Amino acid sequence: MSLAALADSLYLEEVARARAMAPGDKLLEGTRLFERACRMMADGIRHQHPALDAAGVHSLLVARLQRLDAIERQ
Amino acid sequence: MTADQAVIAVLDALETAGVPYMIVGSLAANFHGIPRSTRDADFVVELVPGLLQRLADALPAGLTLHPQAAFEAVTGTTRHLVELAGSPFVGELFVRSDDAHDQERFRRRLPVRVFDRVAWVASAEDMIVTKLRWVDQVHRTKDRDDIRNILAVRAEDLDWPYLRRWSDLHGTTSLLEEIHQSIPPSSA
Repeated sequence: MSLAALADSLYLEEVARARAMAPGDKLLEGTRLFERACRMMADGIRHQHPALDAAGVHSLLVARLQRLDAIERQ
Repeated sequence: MTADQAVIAVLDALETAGVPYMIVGSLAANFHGIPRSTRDADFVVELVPGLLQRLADALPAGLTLHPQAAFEAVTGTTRHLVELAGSPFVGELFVRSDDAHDQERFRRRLPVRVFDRVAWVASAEDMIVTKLRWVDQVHRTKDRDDIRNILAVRAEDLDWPYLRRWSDLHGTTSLLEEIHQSIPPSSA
């Protein structure tokens, strides 16, 4: 299978999964994914800066998200 | 309070305060297309004097409505922020504008039953029409992906004459066709 055919096949699987989801779950899945990503980012920040307290971790997390937003807008 | 609980709380507060609204942005794109991570919940609201305070009063502890409006460059409207304590997640309330499509998409908003309540969501066609304009003006990759995903997931039941009427008016028909053609054929 070519790379393009594989990409198409994976995309069609995504489409089929989305069609099968319950309406409420579809509506809120994006926020759940975001929270999961934030938890992982916060774990990374704590690993990188073990001395930071919860407020410091939150502040750095927000700064990194803002940087990602800025990159996305470019 | 988690972010998804915050979304439900804002929906309930909008109902309690009697604010006509519809869910737009990535939540609505996820609803009609393929869910992706999002750090905000966007709503278009019809605000008359007094409603903002009623909405602020209806929000539970942990959610704060900022009364100061800010101008939003992408949508060309004013917005109010709802912040969730201790979280980077935010709600954004965009005041419905005089733009012809903004008004029509509000009239066409859909009542959707989710988690034992009715929520108002922008239609799939109107999400596509709106995001086509943004791709045309702001060139955000995620908007192009959202359009492609909605077209792929909702292929059979989209109102194509409606879509083409607005894309013709906005000069985005060739963009619509280009994105539509990028979808693998068997998903249509």
